[in-house]
Amino acid sequence: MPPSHSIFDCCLALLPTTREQSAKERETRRVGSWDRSEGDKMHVHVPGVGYVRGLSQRQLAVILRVCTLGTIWAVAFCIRMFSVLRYESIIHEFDPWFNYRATKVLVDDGTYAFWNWFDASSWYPLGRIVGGTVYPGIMYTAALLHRAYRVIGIDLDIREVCVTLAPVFSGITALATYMLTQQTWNEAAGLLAAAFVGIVPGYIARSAAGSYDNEAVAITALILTFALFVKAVNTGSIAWAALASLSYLYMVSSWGGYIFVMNVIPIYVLTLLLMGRYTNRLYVSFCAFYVLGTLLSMQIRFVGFNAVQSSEHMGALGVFGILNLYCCAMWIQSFSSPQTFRAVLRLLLMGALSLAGIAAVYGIYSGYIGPWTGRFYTLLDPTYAKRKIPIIASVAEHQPTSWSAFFFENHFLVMLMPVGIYHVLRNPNDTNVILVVYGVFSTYFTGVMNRLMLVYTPMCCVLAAIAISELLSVWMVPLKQKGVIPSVRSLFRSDVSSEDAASTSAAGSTSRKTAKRMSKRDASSSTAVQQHGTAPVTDQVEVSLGLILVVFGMGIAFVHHCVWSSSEMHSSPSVVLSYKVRSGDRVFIDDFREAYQWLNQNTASSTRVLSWWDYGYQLAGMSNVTTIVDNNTWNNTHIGTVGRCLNSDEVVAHRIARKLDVDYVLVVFGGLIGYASDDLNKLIWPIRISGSVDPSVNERDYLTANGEYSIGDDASETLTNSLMFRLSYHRFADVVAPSVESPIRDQNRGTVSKKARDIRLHSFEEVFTTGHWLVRIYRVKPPHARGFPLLAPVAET
Amino acid sequence: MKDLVLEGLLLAFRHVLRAPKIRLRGPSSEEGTAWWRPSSLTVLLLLLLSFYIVQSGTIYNILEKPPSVTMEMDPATGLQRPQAVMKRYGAQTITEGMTGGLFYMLGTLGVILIDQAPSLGSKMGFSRNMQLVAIGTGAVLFLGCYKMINVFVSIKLPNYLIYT
Repeated sequence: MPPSHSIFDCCLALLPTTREQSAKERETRRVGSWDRSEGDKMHVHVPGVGYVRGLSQRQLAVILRVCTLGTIWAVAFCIRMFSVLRYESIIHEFDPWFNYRATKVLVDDGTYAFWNWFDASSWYPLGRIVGGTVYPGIMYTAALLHRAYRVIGIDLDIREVCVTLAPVFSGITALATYMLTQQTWNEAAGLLAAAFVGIVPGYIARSAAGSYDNEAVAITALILTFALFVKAVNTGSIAWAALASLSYLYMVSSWGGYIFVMNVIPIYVLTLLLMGRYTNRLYVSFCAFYVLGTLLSMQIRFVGFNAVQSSEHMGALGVFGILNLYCCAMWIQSFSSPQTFRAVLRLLLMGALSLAGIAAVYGIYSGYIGPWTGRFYTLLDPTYAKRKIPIIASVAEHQPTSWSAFFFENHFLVMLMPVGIYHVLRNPNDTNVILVVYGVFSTYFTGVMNRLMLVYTPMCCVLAAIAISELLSVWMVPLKQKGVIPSVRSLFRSDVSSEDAASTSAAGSTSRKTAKRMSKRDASSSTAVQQHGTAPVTDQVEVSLGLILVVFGMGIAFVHHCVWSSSEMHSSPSVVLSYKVRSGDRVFIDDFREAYQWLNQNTASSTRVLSWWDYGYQLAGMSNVTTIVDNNTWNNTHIGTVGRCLNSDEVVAHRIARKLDVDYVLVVFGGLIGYASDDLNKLIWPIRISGSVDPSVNERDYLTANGEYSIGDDASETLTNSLMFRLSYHRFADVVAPSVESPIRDQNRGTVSKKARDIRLHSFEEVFTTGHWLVRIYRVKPPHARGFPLLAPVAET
Repeated sequence: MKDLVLEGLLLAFRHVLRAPKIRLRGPSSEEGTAWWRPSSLTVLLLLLLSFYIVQSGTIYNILEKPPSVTMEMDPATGLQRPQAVMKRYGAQTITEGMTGGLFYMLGTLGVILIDQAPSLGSKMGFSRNMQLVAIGTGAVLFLGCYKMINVFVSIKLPNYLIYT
């Protein structure tokens, strides 16, 4: 690799290059680089004609690689399209609806309107500064792709572009994983890693078609940043470090998880320093990456000066300082005697540490450096969110991971991941260590929050690919030696005669390593034979066949699991529910869209709709109404107010609704069909969050005498008087249990208390209930014209 | 006057408190070697232990406080019987978590054993037959643990690998 001729390199020539350092630099050249000469051309034997000149071995390898990666991209695209083929191409879940709305603003009104957008129709009456509180990466990506498609003549609607964005980018993630593994190990492991990442369920979970969420592009940016930084450390060129910082900018613009990248890379650099693997290349690449990356990340309005102020970035700054100190010390050591150097080093260390200490103390006490935000502090102390911030604890994705999630999302790669770490620890070099650092931290954080399984999965794929590649590279050799598998080299006429035992492999890179290891093993084994009479068993064809059969069998099981998982577990749009009846027909429950369309067609866009924050984005996206709270959850007090409205009795709730100018209240009720995530089942969270805002709310009041949360006959008075209970069960008893003696059965919660019968609302009026009673919309009645209290309608007898 | 007092105090200090001669050595700077470098084996074992702790759902156990076994109704007899595996995705009992983590680790150790088997011949003097036994043990460990995880997951999700 030709060295880059820059001014910096000239300055670095001052640093000492001991023999050991240059030996290390030679050793850390990319393992398994392909540098076979151009001279070997493949001569295909055509009967009757003779040998015909065709491709060279190098060209054949490149073609094979390109075809494999292209196939991986195609498979990764197809496996994510289940929901589009089953239902239709719609945006799924909740968060993607906001991203879609924002993308439409960007595409229709231009980038200045998007960058300065103040959304007055959400978080009424506060509004939301969208331009400054959003990660714009995915919107710009979709808009650019939309324009690029137009240029080449494909006129797709922006909705289709948004729906298919994640499958397209999953192919790019596979390519980035190939690059990362190729930089840290070799190409064979790289192809395996790309194949795993393409179809592994942990990644499909957040990147299925329709899941237009930040993680769809963020994981691509994450792997790409690591791959480019590793390439920079390998080559020591500023160009690659600058590319890595550009990729880091893309990561910062896409997802809040960029903190992970900005902490793993410094910890990797620190680990290399502690291992004694300091080189010029490391210094150049990290300094360039850190400075450029931080400056670029401050261009995103959401991050801004957080990049130098928040505590989560202080680790990177610390490592930057330590690396520069180290380089300075090495430089001083190069021209001073050991005694003077020791004195100078002590002075330098004390000076630097005291300066850093003073700066840190001043920064923390003056408030310039902020503390760790709650979302990230939970990663260090998992009990923090549960005690202090109920909103973070209530989100299903932030729950801790159970053991089976590791298996469901990664299948057998979970068991092979530590084997990959074992291989890395056996031959560590400058670039392998990042896999260990990334692996350990992502494993721990995944244990805390199951949403972060997404970050664990690519690393698991890479390490498992390394393990399988090492296994195969050892055990394929006897099959080739004994001629069970014909080798590609026999097609090359120039090398047919010079076939030796240890270098027959289509991927020449693995053969180089295998040759080294085989010769080492042969050397050790020959002495071993002399001493103990024990030759290694790596030349047994039957064992080879058996082990390779096991690996292929696991591969088949892996694919079976991935396809099942993608089809059954990760392809539900959440907007449309479905189930299969006994005759095999599929029944779709489209109640959500029915209710949202009713609101869209029957109300103005300035109508205020109150619902629990889960449905905010969908309401804004599909019904085009003004929402009170939505999934952004940036204002805890506002959510607490909405929660208070839902869990208090009708008079108080009506007063709160009038204060917020609410016109309609929307409630999700799954009692008729057994939909388990309805609002009554979530009622504990409105209670807790409103309790953190309004001290008069006591969670104990809503529980039974035994302390359980129940709506049966032992339900507490406060619960049966709450607005949520009354709105959910209004008219329910008349439909389900018309006669007075029969018990009212709710499909979700069992028998309901008798108080659910004959609920008469005086301040709210039912305006719409969907076909399966899933969504119920009520109108907030205006106050009486003469100030009298509102009365419930009298029953018609 | 103040100078005399200060001089006297300093003399008293030096007389009474005598700092012991400690030779504190920071990390030596020759080629940046760390003063404590654990061996690869130690690091690997520590990592495997920490992976076991995390992958068996310990943090879930701490936060959600699940029971160690749940009770379910036996459909045949109508009595309550203990059930170790919680039949819900995303939930686990403590026993189930620790056993699952153990299966992950044993599968890992099986594959490491397969990889180590040929070099055990030279390191520990295994004969060829013993090496084959080691490879066989590793393969059986790995496949057996994978099958057991499959069994647990099929109990957990009745429709595992079954397209409804």
